[in-house]
Amino acid sequence: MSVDVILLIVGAVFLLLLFSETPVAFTLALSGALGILLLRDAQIVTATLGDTPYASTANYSLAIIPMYILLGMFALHGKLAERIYALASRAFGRLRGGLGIATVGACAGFAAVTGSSVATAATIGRLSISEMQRHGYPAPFAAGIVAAAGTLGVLIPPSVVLVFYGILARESIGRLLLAGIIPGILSALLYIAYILTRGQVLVTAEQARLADVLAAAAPAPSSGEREEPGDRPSSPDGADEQPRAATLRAVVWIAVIFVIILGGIYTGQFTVIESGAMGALVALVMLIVETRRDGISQIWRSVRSSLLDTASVTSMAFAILVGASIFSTFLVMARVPMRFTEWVIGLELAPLLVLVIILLALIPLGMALETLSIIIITVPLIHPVVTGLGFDAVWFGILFVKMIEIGLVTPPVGMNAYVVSGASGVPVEKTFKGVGPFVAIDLLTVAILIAFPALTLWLPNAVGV
Amino acid sequence: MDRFDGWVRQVSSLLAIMAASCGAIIMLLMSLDVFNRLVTGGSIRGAFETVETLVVLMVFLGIAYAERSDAHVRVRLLTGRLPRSIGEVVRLFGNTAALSIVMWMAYATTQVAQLSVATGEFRMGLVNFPVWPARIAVAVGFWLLTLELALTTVRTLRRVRHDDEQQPTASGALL
Repeated sequence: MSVDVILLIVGAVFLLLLFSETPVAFTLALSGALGILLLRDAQIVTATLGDTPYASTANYSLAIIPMYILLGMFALHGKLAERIYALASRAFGRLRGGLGIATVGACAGFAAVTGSSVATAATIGRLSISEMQRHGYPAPFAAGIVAAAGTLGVLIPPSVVLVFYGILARESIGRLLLAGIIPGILSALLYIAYILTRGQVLVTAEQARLADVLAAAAPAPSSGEREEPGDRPSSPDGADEQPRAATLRAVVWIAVIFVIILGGIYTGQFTVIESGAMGALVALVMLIVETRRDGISQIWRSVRSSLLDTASVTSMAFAILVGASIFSTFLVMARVPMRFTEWVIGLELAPLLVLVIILLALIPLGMALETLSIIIITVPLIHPVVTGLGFDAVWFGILFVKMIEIGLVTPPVGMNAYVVSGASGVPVEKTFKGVGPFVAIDLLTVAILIAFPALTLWLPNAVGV
Repeated sequence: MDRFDGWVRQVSSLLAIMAASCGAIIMLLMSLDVFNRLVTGGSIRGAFETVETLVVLMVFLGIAYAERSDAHVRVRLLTGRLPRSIGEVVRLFGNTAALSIVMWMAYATTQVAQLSVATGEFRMGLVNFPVWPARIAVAVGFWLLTLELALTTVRTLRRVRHDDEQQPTASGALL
């Protein structure tokens, strides 16, 4: 049987399994195993299946993935999101469209410690969408803001997705994390500019009193800081001190985690891999300090949940990695990456055109597959082509991840849109409708990043990681 | 069936707690290694190898629990749009496919683990670190995952035969 026929068979089986709800990890493993079986024999398949799970996970560098996930889980259970949102509301609530800006700010801040778009959208979505609707934001606009702003978690470090890209592409994770900062901020600023502009037209209701917003957004008072009815002052300036202190502390925690991770890497005090553990340790301290008034049993429950969720998500992510390694073994045996690279370069198209085609091809992929699967399936194929054309792989990594972000909000599978819909009760069709303009903004951001590579590469070059 | 399901759930949960503990130990050990290096200028002997092994233990001791908690990512684009009964049949096919490859992986990793134990496989480095415990964890994880997937398949089969049970919820991927 020719290699081309085998590739066709494996491709068909892959799609069949994928769309019949076989977990992505085992779809990859089974398709890869079938390909190896057709190319070689059952003994080679058994040997590959026996050794790959250990070989593809027993790697010190991979410890960064569970550590970043753990950091995010501690942040989720440490009431960080509620407090950041309350603070952002306090800062921007006076503006028309201010709550939308506060939501983007809170998503950016929370994403900076969780590294997860879905977690950011779910957590901030629960807090902010009903508030925005209560203040005259149409449901699609409010849901669109959260779904889009939630994707900032993919770019702003620490980003698990960027780490995955770095591992698969064998690029410096430190450079990638630094490279994501300016594009992440640029995305947030463009979202804010749009919200300010459209907010003038779409937000029709009279602005509510800021104190009401804070009352709804601030964390529920614990036993030690319980308020009496009527305690809350009516003037914004007199908002009670405890939530103000708590919200300011949240910013300090975020700053500390951010500085420890990036500062530690930059100063050489610890490696990128160790930065995950240091960040998680600080997040654990944050969780204990911030929930200390809830009692030891509650703290223990939060820590236990964080650790169990981390174990579950880590296993899921690594199962995909194992499946992808088996699939990659087949692809390498069939010489697919080399043939694909030779074919693309042989087309003799302008390198920039090839780049744009590759990036655009990621959008339909993003509509059907979730983030990790896209990265694991495509990076081994695309990375050699892009570097072969002479592009900087770190710069491309940011563009690549940005395009995947677009996939996170585009129908029919846009995970963030579903999560926001589930968290807020806004129908998913309305969420997708609200997301539309933000997708256009994202495409504009990608165009800017393509036109000005320095926006991405200046920071890692300046730091010299 | 329910008793067996309960037994598998308990074992999955127990291994998940062990996996979660591995996560906590990795965090503490790596942090301690950083502090030790800052203070004494040297790394903790064996920390590197221990972390590497703990990552393997964390992944494979938690892999069955990930199936139990529906964390494994599945694409529900097609099955969610099919008529319910047809969707369940397609789902049954998908689960059976997953079960077959995972069972093969369990068999293959067990063979490797047996050889590893028999030869006392270790990893050479600053310290000679035994590899066989991690190899055993890989095999144990896959066998337990096989049981979880078998139970998932049986549940799907029941839904195919009695079209009255609740459909599975969306995957809970947090990345």
